[in-house]
Amino acid sequence: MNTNDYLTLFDTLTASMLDDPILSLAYLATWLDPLRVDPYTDEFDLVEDYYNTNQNTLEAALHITRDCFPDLYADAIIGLHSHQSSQQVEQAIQEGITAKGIPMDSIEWEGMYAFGIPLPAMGVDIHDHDSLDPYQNTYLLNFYRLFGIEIDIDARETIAPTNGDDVAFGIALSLTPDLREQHLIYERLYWLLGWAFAMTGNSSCDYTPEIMEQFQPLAWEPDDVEFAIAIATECDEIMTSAYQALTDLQENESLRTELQRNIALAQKRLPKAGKINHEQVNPLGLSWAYSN
Amino acid sequence: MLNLSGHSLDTLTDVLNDLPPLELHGMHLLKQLRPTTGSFFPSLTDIHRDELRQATGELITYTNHCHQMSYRLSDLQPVPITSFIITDFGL
Repeated sequence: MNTNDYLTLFDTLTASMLDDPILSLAYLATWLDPLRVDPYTDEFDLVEDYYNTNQNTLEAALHITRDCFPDLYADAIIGLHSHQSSQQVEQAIQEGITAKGIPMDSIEWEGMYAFGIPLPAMGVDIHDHDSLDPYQNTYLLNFYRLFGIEIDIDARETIAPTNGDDVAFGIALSLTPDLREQHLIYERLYWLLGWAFAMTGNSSCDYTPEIMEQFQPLAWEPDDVEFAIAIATECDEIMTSAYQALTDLQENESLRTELQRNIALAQKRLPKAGKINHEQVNPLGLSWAYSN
Repeated sequence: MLNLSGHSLDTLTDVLNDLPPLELHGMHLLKQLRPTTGSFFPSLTDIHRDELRQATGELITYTNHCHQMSYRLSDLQPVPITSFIITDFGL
């Protein structure tokens, strides 16, 4: 067979294949969804087939994107058809997932996809100095000082009153939804209190990296991915507010004075025994400059 | 006549025959961009990326449905047919 015969045969076979609906579908799947024609795709297990066996990171990334991020999977297939290297395609997948709010750049070890969905861990703890290290040069330590909490990160020492959390909680409850809605400066302060004292209700904001490591991560399933993105997105919004509140306090003396006054009042009004009733609006009867 | 849930076999056949064929966007792309001589797959360079993403997503959903349906069919319990006697195989 000469070259012309070969090319003619090739064209004839291609035309026949495209005329047949079933062969066309098979051709299409091979072209755009190669994992579909892998007989083991539906049984692929991230622990058994990836972590414990071949650690083929690109294969794991393709399975995850096919199930959870079809647009990234399509991009990866384009990359593979364009002769990009495995590393380039896998790197693009990681960046794509990170851009959707899941911090893939926070896990960089072999078998990392088997770990599950990584979540940000932005929480701080006044007794966990590693968690405070990134904020050493911010106003956060001054903010804690307003509550009588003295932290020396280098010496790994914290001196804190026993009721610091309750005071912060009482102050947060005094920032009512109406007040926060009308004055964003209080909304931001509310989230700063929530983050600094781990009471936002958002795991990524409240858990330090050390605590987050103790939890079983969410699995790479579409519902869990959606949930993880919601957590990470909310965390991002809260952290933006909290950081802005630190700047507010640093630059706005009247807000700082107001907060200090309320901290002093809260310390006096805290229940002698028992906890603050969190279902009560402003249980410590604190007021703010713009309170009605 | 075989009767399933009150429908005759003819009715069911008609219903299935009347179903419109599914138009997969990827099929249009494949026919439109048919592979050039010597290459196994069509080139992806001339397709808008969003269009390809849409076609891929649709194909994944479709083939997953087919796959799930094949599992469900393989799990169907046998239905004893008491009103239909195959005399040729009578014991």
